[in-house]
Amino acid sequence: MNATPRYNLTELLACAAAGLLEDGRSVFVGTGFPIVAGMLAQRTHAPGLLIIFEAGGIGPRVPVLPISVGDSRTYYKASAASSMHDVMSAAQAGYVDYGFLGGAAMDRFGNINTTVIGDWKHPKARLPGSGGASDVGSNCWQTIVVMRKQSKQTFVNKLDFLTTPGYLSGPGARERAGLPAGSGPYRVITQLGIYGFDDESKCLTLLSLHPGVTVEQVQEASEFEILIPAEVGTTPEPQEEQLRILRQIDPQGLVIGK
Amino acid sequence: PVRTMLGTDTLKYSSGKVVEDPWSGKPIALLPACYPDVALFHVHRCDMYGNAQLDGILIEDFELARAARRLILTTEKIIDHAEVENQPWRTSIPFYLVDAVIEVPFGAHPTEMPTQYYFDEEHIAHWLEVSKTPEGTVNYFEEYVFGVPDYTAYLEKIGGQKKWDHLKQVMDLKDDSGGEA
Repeated sequence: MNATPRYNLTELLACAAAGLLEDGRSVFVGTGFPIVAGMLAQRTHAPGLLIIFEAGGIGPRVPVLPISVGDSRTYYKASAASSMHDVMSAAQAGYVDYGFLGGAAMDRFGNINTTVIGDWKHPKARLPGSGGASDVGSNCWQTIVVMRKQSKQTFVNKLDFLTTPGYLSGPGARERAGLPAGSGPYRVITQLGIYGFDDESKCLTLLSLHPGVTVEQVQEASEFEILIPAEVGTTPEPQEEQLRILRQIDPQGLVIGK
Repeated sequence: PVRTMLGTDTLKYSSGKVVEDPWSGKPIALLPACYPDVALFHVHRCDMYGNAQLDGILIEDFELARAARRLILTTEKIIDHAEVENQPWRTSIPFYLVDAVIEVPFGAHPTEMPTQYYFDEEHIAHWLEVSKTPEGTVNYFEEYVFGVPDYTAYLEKIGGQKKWDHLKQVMDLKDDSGGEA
């Protein structure tokens, strides 16, 4: 990393996440980081990105960072402002392309645990549970998992609790369980790199390393083996313009300040 | 029926069931309905019969009003029934669902009332701070809930008309803390 880092990890992750969102498509966002990534994409390469909030805001021009998904900013200059039932139904009907997810732990198939660490009846830690995430992970065509702390504790062989479905037990498992065919985790972004999922095995595959990160560091920070293709790219650093917009979206650094 | 949570522990540990969809043959999850004894929420306008109109997103008020056995509405303003008759399509909660209506202007404080006033982030920050401890929580309720004779006294305590006007400005993005991008 250069001597005086122009950006922090959250800004790098936000630019990487925004870059995945194509213009003219739709994305399900929750509070915090996903909103920032969606707004950055909307104000740079994807002005036609349809941002959808779980409480009912559909296609807003978000003026300033909302403090909750029900915040009236989530439908400022929007196309529609309906309800949670309407938006969740749209996701089930297949209208939503991307969805953001986070989690305490993830396995090689992109399944996520946000419910308990340890035994369900006597947990070491009780986590918030799925919230809208299970709807996102079940119904969005391509979900993007953002995890700031990739390590042996967060990239695990076996989850203590499977809260949100990734590819479940592997190829075809989503479809057998009744989830939409062809849907599932698309990318994973951590503090070390950006990952995809191998088409055949549905296992986590490294796509690009963040600046200054090595393949060894990536393998070291995971209980399971991450597939390493011959060609691995380098994540582009945030540009000045992206940083300027990020700091305009979140002037108080509520999200990008962390 | 929902096509959500299939294959997860979230569903396994829930009271949901998985059945084969008789039409598509695919598995689908069935979730039991919920019947809260009482639902209570704040609406923009309501006539004396209980016909309530809300501006902005409904979030889950539409379903909640219909699921609860008893429904109590507080409202910014009780309006004439004639006003409802002029625009009946705006009524999202019809009278037959409603058991009680109470007019409580500024009644959503410290949360926002879409199109009317924004979150009182200062007060919410205070609550988040003091409610970190049981004592702090008890003190908060003593000071702002049980320790005030009525809602008007509560409003005076949190900043009264001056605070209300400020939060209207913030809602309309005419204030620095909510500045237009």
